Amino acid sequence: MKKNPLLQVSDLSVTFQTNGDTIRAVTGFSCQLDYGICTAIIGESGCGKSVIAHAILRLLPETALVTGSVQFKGKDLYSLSLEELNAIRGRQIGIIFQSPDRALNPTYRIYRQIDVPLRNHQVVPEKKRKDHILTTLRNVGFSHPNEAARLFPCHCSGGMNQRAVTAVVLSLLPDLIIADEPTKGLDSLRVSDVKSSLLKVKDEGRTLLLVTHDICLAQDLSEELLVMYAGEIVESGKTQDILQSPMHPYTRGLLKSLPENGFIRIPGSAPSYANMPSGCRFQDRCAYASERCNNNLELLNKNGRMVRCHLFC
Amino acid sequence: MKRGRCKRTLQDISLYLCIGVITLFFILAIIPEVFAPFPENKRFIPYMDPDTVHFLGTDDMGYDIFSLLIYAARISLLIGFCAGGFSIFIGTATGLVSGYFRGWIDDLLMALTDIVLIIPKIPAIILISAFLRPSIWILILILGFFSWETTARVVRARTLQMSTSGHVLSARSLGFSSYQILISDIVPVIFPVLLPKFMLTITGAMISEASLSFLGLSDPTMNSWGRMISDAFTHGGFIREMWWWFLPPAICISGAIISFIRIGMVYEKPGQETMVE
Repeated sequence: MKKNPLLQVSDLSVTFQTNGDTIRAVTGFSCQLDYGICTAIIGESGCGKSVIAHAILRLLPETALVTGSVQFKGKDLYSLSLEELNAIRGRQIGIIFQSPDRALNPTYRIYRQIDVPLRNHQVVPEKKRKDHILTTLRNVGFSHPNEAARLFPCHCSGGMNQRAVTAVVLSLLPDLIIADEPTKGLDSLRVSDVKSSLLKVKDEGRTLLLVTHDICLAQDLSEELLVMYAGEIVESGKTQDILQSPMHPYTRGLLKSLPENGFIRIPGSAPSYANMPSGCRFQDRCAYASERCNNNLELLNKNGRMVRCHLFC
Repeated sequence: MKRGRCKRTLQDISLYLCIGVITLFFILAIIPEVFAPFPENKRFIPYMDPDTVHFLGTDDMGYDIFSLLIYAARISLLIGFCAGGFSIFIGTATGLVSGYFRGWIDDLLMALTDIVLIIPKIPAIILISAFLRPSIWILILILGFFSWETTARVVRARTLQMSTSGHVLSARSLGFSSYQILISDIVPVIFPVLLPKFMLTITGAMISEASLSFLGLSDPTMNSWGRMISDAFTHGGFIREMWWWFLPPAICISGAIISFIRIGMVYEKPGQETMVE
């Protein structure tokens, strides 16, 4: 019997109402996260990756109009009361935010940053709490956790704060961890620290949703890959399959823009979210664009891979 | 460089001096009987000049002015602190709720704040004090009620700013309720704004109390510094040029006000909010 997915996102669309403009940040996003699997979402800046991460936990501002459904362990997160949702937030779904310096309370020491959510969710008994906090700090790469626990965020480097944010989330032992650009702004040494702590999370059998620009990180950690462009998925499937033989012209362009593939940039820029073209959103930048690209197209199943392109019709 | 160090040393000296003044007033307010040479109600010959027994002479009723000055610290500080605390509590609660929840509750609370803001304070306080029974607690309530609106405005502005900040979003993602976020994530960060406001409100309440006492609208049974100046004015202290009667309480009020403001200024320096635990 097939086990139910941990998270099922169906036809998620996010629209922001600003002064007179309607910004369609995400359109028809669907995905399924199975237990113990790492799924990565890649795409260029502003394609809606972080909006999806925030939308899953209902963290978007009131100006956002969200449609579709987000089912976690069979419960629709958008039909839960705030109290029920707060019991899931952090404890069952944790999110590691980008910009760790801003994600930590500036008035708390690192120890208290971890201790307060632990007490709130009563994850471990009080007697074991201190050991749990210090072990978590050690697991995310602090070689001297006692000293690190006494620091304020303003005393820490960007890398230390990134590890502290990761420790806050991991200490609550959530089933699903959403990592939103966990390696943004870190040097290669710190990137490898973050990578090893996320690998440890995977080894513990937890589910990971990785939102990143870093294709190498996605390659090393994820089994499933979703490629996004202008608020919609353009290609999805097994990570190795997509990276070895990309199908969508955007995915191909994205991989060609990597330094090891010659830094060849995709010409043009992403369309305006307030004035999205009909049909394929990539057509203005696509070398294979034709008349039929003006027609709307659903994701096509091509040998187990999902791709949104008329070339494969 | 040298000039900067000199300026900093002077600032440090002034700060320690002000902390010393407030500490002294607090000790006097808590245990006046230890420092006052005579009990508050012991009478001597009226209108005595200062001498070695009565350092500031005696008033029209024969009370020792130096002892009265020490006992008066209790009422003046009590009114200042209680009215300041009451005002800060209402202002902070209003600003936090208004700035965090926004929507109709923000509109309602800010409309209420605007109404209190446009009421002419001193005439309103005089009017209400004249109609109500003179009592220290009524005075505290009146002074507190008419001084919370600027705190509410400042707290609302900071809360609006903080409610969209990264660490508040992070707290929401960790499952904290709105109440927990307000208390644990917003109040500690806006504390550097609250402390100077608290100090300013204390000084405002002390000045208002002195003004009301001077106008004879305070409780006649309570002895405060403002009351002493009023007594000196109405009972011949000014006519007889008894400066030792009206000048010491005026110096005490001024000293306390300057000291409170100086201490409050410590947290007004930018960039210190991240260091507050």
